[in-house]
Amino acid sequence: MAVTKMNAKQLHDKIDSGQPVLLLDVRNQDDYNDWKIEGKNIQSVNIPYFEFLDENETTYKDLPKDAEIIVICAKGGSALMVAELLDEKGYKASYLEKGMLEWSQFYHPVTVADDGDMKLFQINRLAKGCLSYMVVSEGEAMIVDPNRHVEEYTSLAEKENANIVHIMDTHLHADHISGGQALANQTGARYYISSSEMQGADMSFEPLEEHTEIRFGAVRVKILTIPTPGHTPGSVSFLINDKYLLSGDTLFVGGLGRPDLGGKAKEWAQSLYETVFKKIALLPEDIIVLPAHYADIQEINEKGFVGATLGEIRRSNEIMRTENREQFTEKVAGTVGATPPNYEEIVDINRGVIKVTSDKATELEIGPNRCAVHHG
Amino acid sequence: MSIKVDVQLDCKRLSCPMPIVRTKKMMDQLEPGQVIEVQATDPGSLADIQGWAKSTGHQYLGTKQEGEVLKHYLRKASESELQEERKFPHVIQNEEFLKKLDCNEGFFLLDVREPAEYAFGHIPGAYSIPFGQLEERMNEIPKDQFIYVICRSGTRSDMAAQQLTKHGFTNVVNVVPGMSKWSGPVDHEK
Repeated sequence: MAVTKMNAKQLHDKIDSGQPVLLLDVRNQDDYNDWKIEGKNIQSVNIPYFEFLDENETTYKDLPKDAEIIVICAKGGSALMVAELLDEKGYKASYLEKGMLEWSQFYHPVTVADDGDMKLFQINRLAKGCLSYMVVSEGEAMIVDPNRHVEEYTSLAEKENANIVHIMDTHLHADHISGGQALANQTGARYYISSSEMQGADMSFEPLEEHTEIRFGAVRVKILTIPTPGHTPGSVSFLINDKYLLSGDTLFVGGLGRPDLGGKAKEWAQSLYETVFKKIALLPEDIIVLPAHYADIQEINEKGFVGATLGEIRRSNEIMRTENREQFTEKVAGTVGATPPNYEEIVDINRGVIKVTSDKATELEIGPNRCAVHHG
Repeated sequence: MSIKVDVQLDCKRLSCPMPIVRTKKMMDQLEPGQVIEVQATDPGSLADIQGWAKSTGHQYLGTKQEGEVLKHYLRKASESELQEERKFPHVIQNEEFLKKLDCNEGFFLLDVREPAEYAFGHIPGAYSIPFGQLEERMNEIPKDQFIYVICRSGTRSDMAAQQLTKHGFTNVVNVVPGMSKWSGPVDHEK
């Protein structure tokens, strides 16, 4: 017997296939509790690798001999060690080659819409709960909220025989490093973001507020920018063909964006109120909302993407029906949890104020997403 | 802050799991009570060393960062400490001792833990003589004062208190359970 090496895509395919998957995560307990691989068919066990250093049979007592055990650690080294120990004892073991490091950089594109004139992809970075989008029409592509592994987008565009011409960020991200500028440099496309998000920024961009509509492709995909402040003061949403709302971090399937990351929770909660009841309220119920994040795998629908109609979101989130301004502000500003790790540094990087190496970027981004407000 | 250690272990530029694997091997060779300094550059080693120490019962003292090098300090646990057997009759609970500390009564507080343990946190004003050096440094302790002896769990201070009594000290009290449960003020050496 030998241990089998697995990459992130192979692991995802396995999870996606619907068969039960047993993951043995050998990182320390705190890291595991903070951030782990989750999924509908996943059974996850945490036994830190150092527990295996002592010959002690009780360490193995919860592990089945007849099922494949996929061992996960931070970077792969400890998982390999544990997988080999398991293998010697007659277990069926495999391991994720570069661990959570690799998982944090894995992107999975899903087709949300394909109506002949226009194709819309949701690109899901599963480990972070980060969603970005590619809209393709007549050989041209628009990318929304790209993450920093920009080759994911260039290769997807290439597959669709499209040139990337527009790149936009719905807002200044605080939980992950934007790939917007890097992707623009590489492709020559325009990079758009709201000016109010970029105060003190050290990079060039096309101010989003100067555009009410951006069109590309012979079919004229209609894109409206709807200013939806709240999460950050210059957040926007994009309405594509009056049908798909790319809502950034303003509106999620499971709730609203957190308004506290600028240190002005109450003020921003006020503008979030304006957004929800004065702007989003005017949109039809059957619009499909596609956010930049999700907090729970339950938010992935049966078609494999994260999204729901505006009507469904209104029905399942009480906060969307809390029309009393005071109650709304109180609820939204009062229920925020832990801030995303390293968010101040990440914001500076996304403004071009500081530059970091790829290793440093990886380190800063490690961990779960914490942009959504959970209202229970 | 200088920390006296018995062994240094170089795990620089080793990635997980090697720093812990090596630390475990070295620890197996140490005598109970000895202190090891593990030098590592993997940032993940911090949480893992703490987790490992917790699961094995060894005492994690603390970590110092010098540039990119993390120096982790650990003390090997001994069997007798785990048994928690104390013989010296005069004891005071942490909480009671904290009150005495607050009203600043004249007394001498003797900390008999290893220098590394002392360096990572001790009660302000505590005097450090590691248990192993007590015999030869007894002349540093005043005979005319109340003497409170403290360690981590109350075991070493128990033995120290017995030794002091044997050498003619009269007013000796063991502070229990000791620093492991201490909630009062703490000084760190810079």
